[in-house]
Amino acid sequence: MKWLIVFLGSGIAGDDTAGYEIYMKIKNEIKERIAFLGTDLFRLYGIYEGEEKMIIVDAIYGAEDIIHLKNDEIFSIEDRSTGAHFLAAMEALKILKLVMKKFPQEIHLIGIPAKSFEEITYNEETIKKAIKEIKKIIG
Amino acid sequence: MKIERQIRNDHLARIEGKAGVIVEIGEEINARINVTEGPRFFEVITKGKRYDDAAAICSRICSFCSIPHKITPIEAIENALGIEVSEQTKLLRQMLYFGNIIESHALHLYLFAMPDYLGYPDAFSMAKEYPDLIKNGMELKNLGAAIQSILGGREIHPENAIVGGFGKLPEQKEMEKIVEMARNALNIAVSTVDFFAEYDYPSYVDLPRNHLAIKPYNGYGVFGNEIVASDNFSFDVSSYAEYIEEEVVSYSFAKRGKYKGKPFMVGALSRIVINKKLIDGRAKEIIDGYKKFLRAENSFANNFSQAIELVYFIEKIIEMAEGIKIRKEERIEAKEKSGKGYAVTEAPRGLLIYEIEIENDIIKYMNVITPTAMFLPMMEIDAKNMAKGLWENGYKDIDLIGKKVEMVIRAYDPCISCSVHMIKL
Repeated sequence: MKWLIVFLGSGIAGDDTAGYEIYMKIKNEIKERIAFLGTDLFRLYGIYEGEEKMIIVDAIYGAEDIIHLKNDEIFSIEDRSTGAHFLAAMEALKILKLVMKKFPQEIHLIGIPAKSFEEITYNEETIKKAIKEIKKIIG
Repeated sequence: MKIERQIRNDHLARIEGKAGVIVEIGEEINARINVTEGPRFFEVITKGKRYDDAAAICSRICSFCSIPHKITPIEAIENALGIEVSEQTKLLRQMLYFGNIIESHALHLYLFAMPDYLGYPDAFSMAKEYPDLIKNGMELKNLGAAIQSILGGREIHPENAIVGGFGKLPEQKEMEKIVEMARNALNIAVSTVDFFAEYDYPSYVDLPRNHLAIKPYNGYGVFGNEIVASDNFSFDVSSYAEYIEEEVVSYSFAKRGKYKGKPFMVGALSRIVINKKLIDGRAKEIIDGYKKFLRAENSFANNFSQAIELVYFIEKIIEMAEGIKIRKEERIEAKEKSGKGYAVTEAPRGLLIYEIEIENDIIKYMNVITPTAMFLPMMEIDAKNMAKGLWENGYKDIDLIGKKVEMVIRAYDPCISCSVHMIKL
């Protein structure tokens, strides 16, 4: 079973940098295929190579701690895009599931608690905890 | 004015960035586009930085227009410092830019505009009934993204466009991959035109207007240094401030452009209105067959024009990728350390102007005028006329009027995040 781990977020916008931060830290620590997709999960359409399992790592507004959701738990999230800069990852994921020929059978979402677009409020411990969780999932 | 009814939408859906609209209906009907996204100070952030660092920072103005916001400041810097890049660099930059336009147009047309035409509130609802249409949009978007990733060096905020040249050069086999993908996408692009040619435009927004676009260096391209208006006047980008004024209103964080004191339009429709004769190939055949849809006075024609451009730019990508023979080149060094430069390019949404002043390699002054800031006043007039037309013709359903007003705003494909960066310190 192959894994694909995708990281979402911005390189410069406050807590939305969490995905990029983890991507930069983890890229030399694991062998699984990883990709940073910026704020655009639709780019999964072009980079997906048939991996059976996928982890999505993204900043989640409103969360208090690291969130780990799996399969149906992810698809039950009500999340709507408000624009191209706020393409809701879950809406994109649902659309992609409808239109992609092949799609991962097992999907995990690791959500990093986010509070601000202006400044970084997460700390190093949160990043370490998220990395630990990703490693635990891929085994 | 006594307001009888008000339509208020604080967060317009399916546009890029945050803006709202207020329509007031009384003895008169007025519309205001409220740009609520905070100013982002890029002109100030770049001040005091080395010019090449500044160019990299500018691309962060927008994740969707990161190529225009990288290449345009690079051109302004090169003009300031007397750098003339090679034909290969120009070609690679052009391909990168075309890839950006393809991705941007595909995203706008399929995920933002089409749900309106088919009567769905969002792309997900539309995807349930029309998965093949959304898949078509994904194929086109994916082509644009792949061109940018291959040539730009990475998925987001590509870095290979650099002052004086091009960073890591693509391999010839990667060009073959682009050609293959583009060939597969071409018929989808043609079907996009056919889709938008199924719908008439609401005549309420018919209004003669000025269009502005560049006079491209060659073909129907995105680079040039002369701006042409549909009133047959043209001017060099270095004198943009004489003809394009920017004003500020109390309800918006974005500046608003006027051409000779009047609202105007930029974007795909304006490009085709000004430079239609330069379009060749299949896109020309399609234009000839669908002439009635290129209505310069109606902003809904912008969607149709973007679809035409998808065909044109994909054809050009095939030509360029097939024709190029990549060879290693040295980066061109700057002749000067100080100077003032201007550049204008055609971003997906229209004219993008950069004015940059450099002193001893350091940015002393920068001014950026984005397409959305330019067309905001015209968009506001069209939003008002849409509401007015519906109301005066007996449509009293406020929700319906609100939705139609949003639809005309979306036809402009505004990028609000790009437009908010005004500051004077």
